[in-house]
Amino acid sequence: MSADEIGRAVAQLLFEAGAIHVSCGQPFILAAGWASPVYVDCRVLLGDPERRRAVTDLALARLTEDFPAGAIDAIAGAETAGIPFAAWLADRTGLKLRYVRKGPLGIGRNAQVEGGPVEGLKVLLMDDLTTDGGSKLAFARGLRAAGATVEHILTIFYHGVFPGTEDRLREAGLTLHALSTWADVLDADAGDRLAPADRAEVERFLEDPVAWSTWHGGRNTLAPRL
Amino acid sequence: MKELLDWLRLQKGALLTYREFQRRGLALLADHPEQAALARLLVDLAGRFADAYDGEPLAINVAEQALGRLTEFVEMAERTKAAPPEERLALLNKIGAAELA
Repeated sequence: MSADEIGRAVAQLLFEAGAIHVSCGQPFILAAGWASPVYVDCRVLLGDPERRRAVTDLALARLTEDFPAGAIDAIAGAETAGIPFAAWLADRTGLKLRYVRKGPLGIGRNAQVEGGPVEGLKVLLMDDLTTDGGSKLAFARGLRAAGATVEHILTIFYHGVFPGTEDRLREAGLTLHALSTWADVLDADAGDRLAPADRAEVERFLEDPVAWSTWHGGRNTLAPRL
Repeated sequence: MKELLDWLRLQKGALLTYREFQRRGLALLADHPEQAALARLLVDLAGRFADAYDGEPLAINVAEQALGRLTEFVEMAERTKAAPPEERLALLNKIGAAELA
């Protein structure tokens, strides 16, 4: 199965699960500050046995396609929604499982990585969603600080529209493997789940996400605001 | 506190704002122990909000309201720095009982 076929299949599952939310009148502010008429809630897949199994199958297909045997020792799920997806994939592949917090707790053991040591392991970071890569950099830093080698990220969905994301990740020595993107969502058969007016608004957003965000009160620069 | 307020006034109120606010608040707590209670309560307030919306986008009206409230609390904290103890205690209790959304 090609990456494109996997992308369309995952997008189809996201539609079926009701994970694609469109709100034209009241934009969403995504975690990184971008305003958007749409957001994707991959967590709805968690409670759906049939679709989560299907997504795990597709993730496994992508993993097999992208990585030779022995290229990965462990899969680390990103807190919080990345953890169950990582667990299912680790179970299917027989790889070790870890999870990584958003940051060390600051008390007790002060650990950011749980599930066992990662020192010397080649770790694949897994999360449900990638917007502009900011949180992925933080997770990778945490894993590396614990001694892991982290060069690859696997996400269920990647917006793929905010400029500079892949460059930022590349500069940090990270390659993103996304199962699906907006291009896949627009190619998928949405049936009546995406009204023509909503599709038109999504397409306007995708033409220039930074301008759309600026116009709707969201972040307006590519540089980190923090 | 003034530095924290100046920074906060430049933010748009995305979830990352609250995570960064927590980091800056903890640094303030460490550097200014005389403001530790206030800093801790503000950090917790921002943290509860960020946790509540973890992994979800914010509706723009919720984002604006939450940022407005947090900014207001930090402004009050800055204003009452030299206020009588009863006034400062009242502010601590107000922040302790508050939520941003």
